[in-house]
Amino acid sequence: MSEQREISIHVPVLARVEGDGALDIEVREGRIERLQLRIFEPPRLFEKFIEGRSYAEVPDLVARICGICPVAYQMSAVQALEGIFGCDAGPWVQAMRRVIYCGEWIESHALHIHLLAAPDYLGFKSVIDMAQQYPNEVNRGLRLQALGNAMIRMFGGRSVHPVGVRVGGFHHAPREADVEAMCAQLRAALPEAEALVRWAAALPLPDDAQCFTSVALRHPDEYPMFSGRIVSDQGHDFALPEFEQRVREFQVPYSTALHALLDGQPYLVGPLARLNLNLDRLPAPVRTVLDETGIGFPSANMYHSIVARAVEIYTALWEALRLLEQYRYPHTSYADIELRAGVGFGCTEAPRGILWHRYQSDAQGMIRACRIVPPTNQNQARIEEDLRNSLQSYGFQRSDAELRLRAETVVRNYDPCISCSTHFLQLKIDRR
Amino acid sequence: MSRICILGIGSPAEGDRIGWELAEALRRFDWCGCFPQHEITIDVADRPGSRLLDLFAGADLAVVIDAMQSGAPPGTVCRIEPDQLQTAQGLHSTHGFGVAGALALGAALGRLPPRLVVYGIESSVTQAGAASEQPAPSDVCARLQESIAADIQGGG
Repeated sequence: MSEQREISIHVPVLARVEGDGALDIEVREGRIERLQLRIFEPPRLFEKFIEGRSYAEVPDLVARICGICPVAYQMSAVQALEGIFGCDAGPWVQAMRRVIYCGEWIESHALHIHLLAAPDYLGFKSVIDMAQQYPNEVNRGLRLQALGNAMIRMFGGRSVHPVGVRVGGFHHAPREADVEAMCAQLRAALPEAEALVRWAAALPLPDDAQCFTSVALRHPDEYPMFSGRIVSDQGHDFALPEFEQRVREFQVPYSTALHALLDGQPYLVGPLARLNLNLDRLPAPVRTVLDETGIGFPSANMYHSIVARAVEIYTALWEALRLLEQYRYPHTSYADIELRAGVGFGCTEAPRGILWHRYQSDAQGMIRACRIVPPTNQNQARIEEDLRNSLQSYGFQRSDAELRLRAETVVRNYDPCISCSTHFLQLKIDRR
Repeated sequence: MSRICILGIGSPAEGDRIGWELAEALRRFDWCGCFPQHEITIDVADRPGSRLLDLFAGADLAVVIDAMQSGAPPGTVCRIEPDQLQTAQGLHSTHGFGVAGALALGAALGRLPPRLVVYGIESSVTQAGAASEQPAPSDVCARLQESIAADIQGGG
């Protein structure tokens, strides 16, 4: 086909991403004229649901925003609310929050790597096809996913409401015997997670370096999960309240998901951004394995996101083991709250990137205002920029099917949780 | 002694709780008294996705109960063998990676129980707060219980 053909790409339903989205691209004389990633899930209006509710209800409410990352929503919420009430939950709660977050990272990343992303690189339409030729790898991924889920459920969640987080701490403390059993599972999983990093790094990943700004939390000592300042590889470094001055959200006419710009520019959040900015915070065994893969980090290749997710699974296992090996049953699983009016900010690292919350409470603990900025919203502008660059360099002499698959693969690098991104993919190619 | 696992699958969405509600209702039946030679467990799960394979691991017979939208009258109980489920080879979303996708993955990995039955209960699944036409669990439960009992007896 001629490079000069006009192409209209329309992907009606984007496969293997969370939620529903569509992609429209118009190409004329070899240049992209129009590119729109359309999110059309019904607006979730969670911010409005939460107004007028008690602070104590917020963890349960926000957990329903996302079925894959409920813990992340709860973590950002409790951080903000405890900030309003001046509550210091104490070291036991802080440690256990890191453990439960490790569980969610492991579950989410294992799911994405095996069910969503890996089929792209091995030439399969789905994990079901892939499982027939790679049963060991898929079973390994399912084991890791189940382990992550078990780590979350250890904190007293019922099977139909999977988390036990509350403002001040947790509803339940795990028994020491259960924690000991979990430690044995974590140790057994370490070789599997190490093997996963090596396997992910050896996948036939496209080589497509781009220019983008990585944004993540930065903590004085730890690989960031629950706390830190917001930093970038372009020199940004600010505390949580400054987020709303630096990041502007806006509606695009073709999507119900808000877009976000940092100082007027698209930016990347998520595992690749986190890893790029926090290599020196990795546990030593993880850093060693990563170095042995031969892949250079910081990386400007979005296809290395699958490696970053594998690295974070391995990191989360080490971190959880470090914290649980010192576990003692606490005197209390939560700190008391003294209500007062005020404004609070929370920003934690969801599996998909920084998740920023802002709450305003009155003196009775009733929420008067709420703002939630999910990571997938923050990535929307970057995804569109990536699609333009990637498809332009991939070339339009390809078939529609090849272009569609490349577009979907690009979007899947971001693991967009489209269900969250509205507070997959119909692709329409217009060739003229 | 055979291990029999009955699972009610659902989500908080209106109409998608029918699997949970029926599992809870089925617990009131005296399964142990009627089938003392079997170990029968009844559990509920919120959108387990691929974890469904772990939930019925080790069972000789797994019975999965989930809401269904096929156009049949609300409350219709449809007994489905695994090879009758239509599966989309391209996953649409892990939020939507439901029973069919999980079972297809289980079949590909050789991880399905020796006997497996899926019960689809016709239900209107809507967003929270929206009106929907739902079957009355008590009407459905009796038919479901009878059919599951036949499944258990049929296994010997």
